[in-house]
Formats: sequence, C-alpha cells, structure tokens
Amino acid sequence: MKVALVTGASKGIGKACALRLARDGYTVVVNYSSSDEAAQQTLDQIKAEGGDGMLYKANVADLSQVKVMVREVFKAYGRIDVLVNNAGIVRDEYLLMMNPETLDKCFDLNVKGYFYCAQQVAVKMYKQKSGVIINMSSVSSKFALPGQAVYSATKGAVNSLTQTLAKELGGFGIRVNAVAPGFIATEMIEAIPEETRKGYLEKIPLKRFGSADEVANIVSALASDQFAYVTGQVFVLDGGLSL
Amino acid sequence: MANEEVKSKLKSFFMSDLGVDGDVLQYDTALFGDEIGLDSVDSLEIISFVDSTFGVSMTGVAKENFQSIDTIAAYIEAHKA
Repeated sequence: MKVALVTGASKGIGKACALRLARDGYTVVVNYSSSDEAAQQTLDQIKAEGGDGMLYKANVADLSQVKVMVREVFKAYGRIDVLVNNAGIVRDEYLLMMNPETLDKCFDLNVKGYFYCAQQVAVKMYKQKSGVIINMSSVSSKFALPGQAVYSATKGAVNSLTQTLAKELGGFGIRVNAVAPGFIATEMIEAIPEETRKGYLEKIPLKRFGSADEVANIVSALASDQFAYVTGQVFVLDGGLSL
Repeated sequence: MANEEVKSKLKSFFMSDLGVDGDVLQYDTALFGDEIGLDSVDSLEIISFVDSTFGVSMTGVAKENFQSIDTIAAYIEAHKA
C-alpha cells in the first residue's frame, strides 16, 4: 500500500490530485480546513471509483495541527509516500492597498504551511528512505501580474524552498518538485467577470484555460517512478502564458 | 521508560547508526563538537530515531536540546506522552 497526503483536497486542483492519485492506487488522505461537505464528496468519489482513503480536517498554517495530522496518518497507515502541498489562498491587492493581515494570511498558509507539512512528513519519509513531495506553485511565481505581489511572492518562496529541500532531502531518497499552473478552470476562474476572463485568454497562446485534471496528470507523473531522477524542478503548466 | 534506558537506547543508536565510537561517547559528551563531530545532516537521523522510537517530535526544537545524550534524553522525558 502506498499513501498520499493531499492538502486542500476538498476542491479544485487539490481534489483533482486526490482523485488521480487514488486512481493510481494510492490510499489518499484528503486534508481540508473548512469545507466538510466538499471534502466528503472528494472521499466519496474516491471510494465510488474503488479507491480508499480518509478525511483529515486540519489547518496546515498551524504547526500543532500539522503535527497531529501527520502523526495520526502515520498511525493509521504506517507510512506516507507522497505529500502534495496544495492548500493555499489568493488575495489580490495592489501594493498601496495591501493590508498587513493579507500578507500574514497568505504567507502563513502558502509558505509556512508548506514548510510545516514538508518538515513533519520528511521525518516519516526519512525513516522509509523514500518519498515524494510535490509543492503547488503558480505561474505567478514567474510571470508578473499587477495586484498579485503577495501571491507571487509566496509562490516564488515555494519555488525556492522546493529547490533547497530537494538538495537537503535528496540523499535520503526523498524527491521534491513543484508544479506551477497558469489559469486553471476552477471555481476561482469561473468567478472572474467574463470580460476579464476574455482578456486572460487572449494572453494564453493555447487560447484556453487549463483543467485541474491536467495539473493532476503532472502530479501523478512526478509521484511515480517514471520521474525517479527528477528533483528540485518547477514544472510550468500554463498554455504558454509565461513565454 | 526510565531515563537511564532512554540514554542507553540513544547511545546504542549513535554507535550503530551514526558510527560513533562508544568509548568516546559519554552521556554528557558534546555531539556536535570536535570530539564526536556530528553535523546537521545527522540531526535528521536523530530526529527520525527519536520520533520512531520514543514517539516524541523534535522537529524545530532548539539546538541546545541536541547537545548531548543527556539533553536529548531530558527532552524526551519531558515530552513523551
């Protein structure tokens, strides 16, 4: 049995990753922080497709909750093979309008949360001498969009921590990579006004938004032994937006 | 688990897993000093061993707690369930 822990797996990209990893044969821990019903739907779908897993409600920005979660998962399954650090938030604000609370919230979840989960899971993976950590970054880490200074800074931090952790943990059989999606057709994109969406599409050479399943495809590949020699990389999936 | 037993298990671990000379390693010997010469990579070994053997998390713990077998054992005693 192989076990994957996906943070922020109740909706969107996290949900797609959880479903895909379950189809790949992983027992999947569906982490979420508030959306009980949506998380349950993710797990129900995993089970309806013949997979297995569990729900775990925890705020990954809180180290004490992360410690308990990882310990409980390990107690339940005895191992953690894949961590998908996905839970995150977007709060777009122009610099002069930026609120310190926004800065704290974004860095607490998008950066500290990734560190906390990686740290606690790495201790378990270290014992196994194997494991894969996949950090969800964003094309915003490489392609500047006005108003996204905070979000892009957090994702730039994710890219840097991915590279450093890859060096720190590589000798112990643990690979660390990141996936940097562009505009992905999730609820977040659907909430954007039609005109703004059209403007985004014009900037994308492939003239469409990506799908959460396409992000999950890369996560699946990175988790597999097909990518056993790949670590410390950031894979951009943006339809050419950042070119 | 008595403190002496914790120390004894730690010493065995340092000798068998990290290759530390048992004749040199006393309970109060500085682990990261010149004498033993462990480095930061070894700290991951120690954290993993303590986690799996005693069920105590030492991630993010201040360096002073890793100074010697005595200090690690004291931390374990203070934090085990």
